[in-house]
Amino acid sequence: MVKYEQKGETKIQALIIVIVVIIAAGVAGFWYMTSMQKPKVEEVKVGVVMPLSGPVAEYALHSRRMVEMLFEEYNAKGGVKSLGGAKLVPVWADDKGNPSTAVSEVERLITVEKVSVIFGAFTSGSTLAIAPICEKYGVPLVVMTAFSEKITRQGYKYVFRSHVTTTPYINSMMDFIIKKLKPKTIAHVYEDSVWGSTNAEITKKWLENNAPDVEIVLWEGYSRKPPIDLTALVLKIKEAKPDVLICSSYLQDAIVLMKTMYELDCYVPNIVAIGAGFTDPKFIQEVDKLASGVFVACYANYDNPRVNAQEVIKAFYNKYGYWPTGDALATAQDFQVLVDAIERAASTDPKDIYEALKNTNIPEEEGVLYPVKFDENGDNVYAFSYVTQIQKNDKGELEWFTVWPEDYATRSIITPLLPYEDRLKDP
Amino acid sequence: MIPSKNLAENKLLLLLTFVILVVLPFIAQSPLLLHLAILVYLYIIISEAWNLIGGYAGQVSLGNAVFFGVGAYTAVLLYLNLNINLWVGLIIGIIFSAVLSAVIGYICFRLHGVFFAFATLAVAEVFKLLFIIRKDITQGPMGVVLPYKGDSILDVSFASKTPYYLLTLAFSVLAILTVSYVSKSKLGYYLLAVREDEVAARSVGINTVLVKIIAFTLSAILNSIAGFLYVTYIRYIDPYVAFGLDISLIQALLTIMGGAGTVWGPVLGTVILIPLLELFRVYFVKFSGINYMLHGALLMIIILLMPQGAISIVRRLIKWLKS
Amino acid sequence: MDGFLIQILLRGVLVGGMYALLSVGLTLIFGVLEIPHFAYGDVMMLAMYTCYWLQVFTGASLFLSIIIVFPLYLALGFILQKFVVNKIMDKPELSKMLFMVGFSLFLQGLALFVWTADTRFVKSELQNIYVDIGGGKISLTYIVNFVMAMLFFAGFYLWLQKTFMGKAIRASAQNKDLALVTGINIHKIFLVSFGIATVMSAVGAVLFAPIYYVGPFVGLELTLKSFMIVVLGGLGSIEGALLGGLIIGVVEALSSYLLSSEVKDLSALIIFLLVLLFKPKGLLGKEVRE
Repeated sequence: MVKYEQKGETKIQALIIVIVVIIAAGVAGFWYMTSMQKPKVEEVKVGVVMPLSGPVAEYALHSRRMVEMLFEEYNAKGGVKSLGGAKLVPVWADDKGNPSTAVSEVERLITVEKVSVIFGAFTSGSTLAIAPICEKYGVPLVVMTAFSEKITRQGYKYVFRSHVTTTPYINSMMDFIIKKLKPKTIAHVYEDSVWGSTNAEITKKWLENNAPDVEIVLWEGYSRKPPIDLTALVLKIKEAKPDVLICSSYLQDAIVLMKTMYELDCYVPNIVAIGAGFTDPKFIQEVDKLASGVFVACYANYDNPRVNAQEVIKAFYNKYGYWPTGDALATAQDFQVLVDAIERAASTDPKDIYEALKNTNIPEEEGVLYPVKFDENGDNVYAFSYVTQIQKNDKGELEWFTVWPEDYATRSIITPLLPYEDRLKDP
Repeated sequence: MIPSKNLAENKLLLLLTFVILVVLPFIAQSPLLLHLAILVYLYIIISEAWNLIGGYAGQVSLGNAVFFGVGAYTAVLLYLNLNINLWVGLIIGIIFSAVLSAVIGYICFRLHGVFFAFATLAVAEVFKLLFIIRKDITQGPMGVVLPYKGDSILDVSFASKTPYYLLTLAFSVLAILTVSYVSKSKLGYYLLAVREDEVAARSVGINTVLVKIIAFTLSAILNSIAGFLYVTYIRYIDPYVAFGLDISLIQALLTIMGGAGTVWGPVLGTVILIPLLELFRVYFVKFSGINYMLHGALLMIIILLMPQGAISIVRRLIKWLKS
Repeated sequence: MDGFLIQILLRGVLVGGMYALLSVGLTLIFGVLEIPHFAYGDVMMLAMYTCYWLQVFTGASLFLSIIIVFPLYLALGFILQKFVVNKIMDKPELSKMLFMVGFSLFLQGLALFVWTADTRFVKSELQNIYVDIGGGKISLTYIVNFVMAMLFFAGFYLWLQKTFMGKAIRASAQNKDLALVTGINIHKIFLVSFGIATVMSAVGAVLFAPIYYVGPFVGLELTLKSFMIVVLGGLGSIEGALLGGLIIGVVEALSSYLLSSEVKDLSALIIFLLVLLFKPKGLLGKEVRE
């Protein structure tokens, strides 16, 4: 019996040794694999985080196409010249519109892919969530498209946003509303993520400080998770009877909102949308004549007269067959800042790119939408916004026309909105 | 547990493994490896937690996410709104979870089997919706971001992964020790009795409701701790992640795959599956969905062929070795 | 404002009717096969994607999709029962449930892989045609799809009442051992029940799709909702599924009218929990099951 015990125990010992060796080999393998990810100087890796699939993907598509186009063009024109023509390589990450997915993707981009800079994340929610990660690792975050000023008010040093953020945007839009539409009562419905909620906060504050006589009759958030049901909300709007209804909506909810308002016979004299869903071509496609006369505040519009803007706008149109949205144009401005900093840094080290970003100074003639210089929060002091209105063009189709600021207006405003029967009539 | 004639040798082995694990982050500098390990430890905590109520007591709960979410949110909301130290928030979260589990248990344990499972699932959904609706308190779907303002133990905030690694390792050992202790105690005996035949257990004088509630409460406490660890590591939480079916399901699935009702089953299940799933996610970004398919297929296979879990294979292997 | 109440209630009833068709299959599966079919909604999800693909690749109308979906999912139901579900018929209840959970995960992964996480929409040609009711407009989709759902439901009910197979199935649901003694081929019963239940839910899903959305995780939502409805109505009761569906439909519509859309789901869940805890047999429940 002693023999058997000894045999059994040696077998176990042998097995244990085998297991330990396997684990050790596995660990060594990981170590090797992950430390081999050093980027070569022939390329500069940029981590691109945005919704590539999921509920927001459809709406983010235009910015995504803009990013793809700009990367291609940039490399075609010779890549990063200060690094001898090194390729600018986008490392794509899909956050599916979820902040938690964005967080784990950025962890992966920074620790595994070893990117030099993060470009993302399109939605305010995801961008806000990844900012502390970038800050922690000391990898600069060039904000792509995201709007909420919460992102740049956390005291992070590594966050840079070149397109306009909430406060100046809202100032411009509310200025327009008060001066041109002169409402006595006002309402705001907003989707309840970081973006919509920040909008609601800032617009309310603006009214309290600058137009306290205008009565706030409704200020309510709604959920964007499908299936989107805005019945109760629209009934509240109908009861509140605002002169101006402000909407902070992404694409699908914008469509549902307009349709539900029609279905429940809810008429308001003026609708002013804060960009987003209302700037999407699909919005006009789905909602058709119901959209006629709606005001849409935006980052920029494709009738923008700036030469650099038109260059990008025409390139986009030639490649994809439709005019870029305001989001896509903001993305183009963000991209310009990104490559400008990389060129000046002449390095793949995130710290160098950070320093370059801090010192960004893109003059008036070169900026896509405006000159760029960052304040202590990481926002561009020169950024501003526009307001457009959806009107019929010469062919009778609905399009966005810039109507504010007045120096940039290509059409004059039509107010109030036509009642539904008139709107739906064919001319 | 690995049956071994020489108990001392077994304990030595465990201690050796533990020492290696503790020293690991100081030798291997790979953030990916540490990240995987942290995830494994986190999932060990919740799978051992589920093991208590689902494995030993035989009550399939699909709503343990409630306690995970309560643990995470309590700590974070108290910290951000009332400046209460996160560690204190951990304790308060545990207390909340324990009380909640007693209440929910008391109400739901009159149901059995599938009905109990669906009831717990519904409770988790209710919590998810409540946290979404009351955005004034919880920030709703926006979620809560834990800011990074530099390294600090008091704020549980670190740039390096090593402190998180050690923290989660420590608590996972705690979870394993808890289950080990319970399994050898009278409570463990009662739980098995309830699992096998509740009516019979009651007839011999076991207070089955109390016994189930105790298991549920222990399960809740462990989940609460895991929630705290999760949010202090990932620095973000929202109602979908906190109370989602993902968390509730995976703790059940890992335990079942490894071997429910055994001390090491959940560990085995977690150590095998979690790195696999995570690596799939990281390296096969293009093949989204394959890890769900893998997970589902494995579960079906296990139920069909190895209902005792992977640990039964390990046991047979060891028996063969001893022959 | 009352005008809107009528419109809202009407909408609730119309949706409720579709819910009834969606969930009636589950009550049959529970009653006859005694399987907690966790993947019930995921098969429905596949039906919705099938309809989506038909629309994208052939521009087929919704109703044409039904003609294609019907035989397809009847066959799929048979196949699933024979090759998947059959394997666990003898296992303990919880094993059955966990097995179906695994199957559900598998289907979700499949959908994610094939169609990605993008949200898709199925359109009905009648979507933009409105009917004026009660001070507002309701899209014709609701009305027509409700009528179709009720037709299928009625057909199903009659089939169960009048045909030999239907009666055999009902007998098995009531008392399996007795049915076996009378010489009914129990395997055939299982096969047919599962197949019919699957196709009913598939048709229901296609009718429901235009007013919902299509995504890889829709299955879970639909499974939970179906389970709520059949528990409310009483497991094993066909009429119960109709009643349960209508109640949930109306409760949801009223909550979204009076409160908000988020509260809509909450109300349904709370009613479900109350029923589970205090009247687990449901409103019209016949079975004396645990």
